[in-house]
Amino acid sequence: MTTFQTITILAGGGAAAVLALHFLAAGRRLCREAKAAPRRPLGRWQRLLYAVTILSLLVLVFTGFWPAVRGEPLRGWLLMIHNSAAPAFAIGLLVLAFLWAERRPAGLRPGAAGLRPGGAGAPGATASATGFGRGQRLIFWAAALLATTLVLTMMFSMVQIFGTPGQELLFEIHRYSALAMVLVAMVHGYLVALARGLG
Amino acid sequence: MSDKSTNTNGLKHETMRNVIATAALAALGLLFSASTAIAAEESQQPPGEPASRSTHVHHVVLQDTEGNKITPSSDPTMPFSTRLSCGKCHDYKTVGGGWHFNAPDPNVAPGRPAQPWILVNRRTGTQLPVSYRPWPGTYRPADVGLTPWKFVSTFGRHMPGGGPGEMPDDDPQSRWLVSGKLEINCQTCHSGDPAHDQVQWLLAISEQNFMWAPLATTTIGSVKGSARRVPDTYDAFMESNQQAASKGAPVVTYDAAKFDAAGRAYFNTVHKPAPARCYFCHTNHRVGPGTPEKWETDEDVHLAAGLTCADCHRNSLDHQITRNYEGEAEARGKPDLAALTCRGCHLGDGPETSSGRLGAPRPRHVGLPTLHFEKLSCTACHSGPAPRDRAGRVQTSRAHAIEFHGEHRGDDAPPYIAEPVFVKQVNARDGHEEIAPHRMIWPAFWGRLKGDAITPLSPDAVIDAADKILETKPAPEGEAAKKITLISREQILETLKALAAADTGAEPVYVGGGKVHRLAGDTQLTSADHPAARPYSWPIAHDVRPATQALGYGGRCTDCHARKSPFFFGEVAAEVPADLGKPETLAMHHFEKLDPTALTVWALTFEFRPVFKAMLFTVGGLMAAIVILYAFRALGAILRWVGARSARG
Repeated sequence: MTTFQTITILAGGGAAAVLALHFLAAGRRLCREAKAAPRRPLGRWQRLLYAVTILSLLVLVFTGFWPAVRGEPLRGWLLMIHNSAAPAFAIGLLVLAFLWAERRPAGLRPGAAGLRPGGAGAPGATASATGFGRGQRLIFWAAALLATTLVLTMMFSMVQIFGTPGQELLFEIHRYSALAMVLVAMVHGYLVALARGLG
Repeated sequence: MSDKSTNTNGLKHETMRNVIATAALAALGLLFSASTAIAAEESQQPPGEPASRSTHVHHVVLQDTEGNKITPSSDPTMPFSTRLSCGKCHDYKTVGGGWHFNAPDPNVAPGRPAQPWILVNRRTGTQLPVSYRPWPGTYRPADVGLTPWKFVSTFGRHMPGGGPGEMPDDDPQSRWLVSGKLEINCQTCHSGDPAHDQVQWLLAISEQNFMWAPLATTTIGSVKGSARRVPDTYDAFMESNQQAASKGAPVVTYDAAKFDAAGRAYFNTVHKPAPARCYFCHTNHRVGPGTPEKWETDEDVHLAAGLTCADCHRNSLDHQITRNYEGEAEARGKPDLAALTCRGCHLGDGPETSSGRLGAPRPRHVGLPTLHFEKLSCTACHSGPAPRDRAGRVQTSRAHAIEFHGEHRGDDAPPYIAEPVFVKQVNARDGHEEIAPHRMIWPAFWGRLKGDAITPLSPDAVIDAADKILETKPAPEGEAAKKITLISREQILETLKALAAADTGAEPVYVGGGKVHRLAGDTQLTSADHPAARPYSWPIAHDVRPATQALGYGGRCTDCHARKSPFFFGEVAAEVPADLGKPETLAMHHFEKLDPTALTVWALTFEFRPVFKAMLFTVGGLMAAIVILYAFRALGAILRWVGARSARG
């Protein structure tokens, strides 16, 4: 088993376990609070865009990690599907970044929504005037940073700049960024679930 | 005092004697140790393998096969025996275990499949890969009636002697007693004499002058006459030169000027063979429409750079010449051999900036996804002719005897070998599958089918049964006369009937064109797939093209990733020396075990790749800009917050 296989399995399993423990410890309470809190649902087009982005992410995760966990290279139809889903995800995330970046500014100004009481992962408690909590803000910017890394590592590997060591480095950065993105997405999904009171 | 003095002196003398004796013993000990060490060191050197890199001048006392010293005036003048003449200094048995000679030894691992000998018989439409090495897809010589005698008579023209040429043989048709054994001809490879004439070897083999063949290639003497002309009871040692000449038997004349005063003959011998010596048996020559002439093509880039074959294909006295494919090091238990593979030489084990051996340039493979290194051998992109829409025909020294003139080497002459054919093979280093360029031959032969197994028939046996049917038709006049006449479908039908007449309990079949052909009634042939009809292929390593001519160089992804690219969609025709109608063709992806639909779809994506790249670079750039912009804004917020806190004190 390769290092990446081991890390992927441990990180994925670990993240799932932490989220499960968190849910057992505080999930029900947070769900109750979330149900009681006011919501700012997304508009139709944003919902569609969000759904496409999430769907393409799921495709990327499956096609990328299924062979990786099995210790096989990504090739054939899976590679083609992976490559086809990548633009949808990248463009979707870019548009969401355009739409949401100002709704979730870095928010370290005193009195700004981001500094209001309530911890990350407490959507009801942190729901701000912008519609996002601190946890989701962190997730948004982490996803934006990771998506940028994911896109650029693959794009730079396609141009005549990097030789084999560079290609290997780009690939390593790509797949570890992808793993980080998966973890971020798991947390995001968990927070969304809590925010919707699905507990 | 004096006593004391005497005693003292005596003591001194005694002490001195002891010192001298001890010193002498120590010196002797040292000398013994040193001589033992030197002897031990010497014993590590294989016999006949001088440690020096200088050229050893070969003045050789020649002996015939019975151990008699040869002088130019001997009568009968016998050819020299390499076993006894060269074997005095170089252990002949050790040399004889080398790769060029050990094929018949069942204890020798066959290694990666390589070019087999190809039994060709135009009259019976036969082209059959045979080898003493058990490579899958080849037949053992005995399977088709090739005794050592027949094997040497057929293929000895491009053998360096030894191996089958010195095997025990109970073939009643053999004439070893007349021809003598075909000993290893060291000069085939190691001659540095520009006048060394390997063509004389072929002529000697064709005249059954096996014993005389090594001499015939040199300039120290000449051979006239033929062992073929004399009866089975002829004994060359019992006949004077005059008697032998009168019978047309081989007669040797040595050039006395090539012998020194001590009666030693001078051989211009080199330790490392020149490429021209290797080329005699290892030349590949493309033929067919659109094929450039020899002067229009380049030789292997390594040779052009000044290397020789033997710089990479090395051996010690045991002549276990390295083949330098991946996995050979592991198979032979010699890890250092890995340094002689493409990867070993060009990538080395050193730091990133270092080159491999002999200053081999380190490839950068700019822009090439590393996945290619798992799916392709180095040779897939770098070796052999560039792929074409249809795999071309190639003639090889050993298959077509292209070193000699004659109709056997016309463009239409069988055997039909196709190249390059990209085939999925198992990398012997770690067992992973990879695509590599191969040469390929489709077997064509007569056989008997029993159960699922087909036993090949020798061409002679087929001719015995269907002599009249297989008579060659007179060639038409004019340009068409240059075309090879192939056996027709009707001849195949009639021959099958003739073979069926001899009730052997097995059904006669003709294998060819990728199918097995059987009788269906009196007038019909049926064809079906069968493992015996599948092609045999062997990997191409040379000629290596310059890096700029490698597939995909400089970002030319569409060299392979294009619709109908020859690499995946080039056609390979199942050509055999029989007129079975239009030959069946298979696309390369069939041998690469790849899905053509997936390849086509993947190729389509490359048509949009420039747009794809532009779009995703834009997306990536904008994303990066947003992240950076907000990172600065966050930094600004932090500074404002820190400033506000510090202002409040």
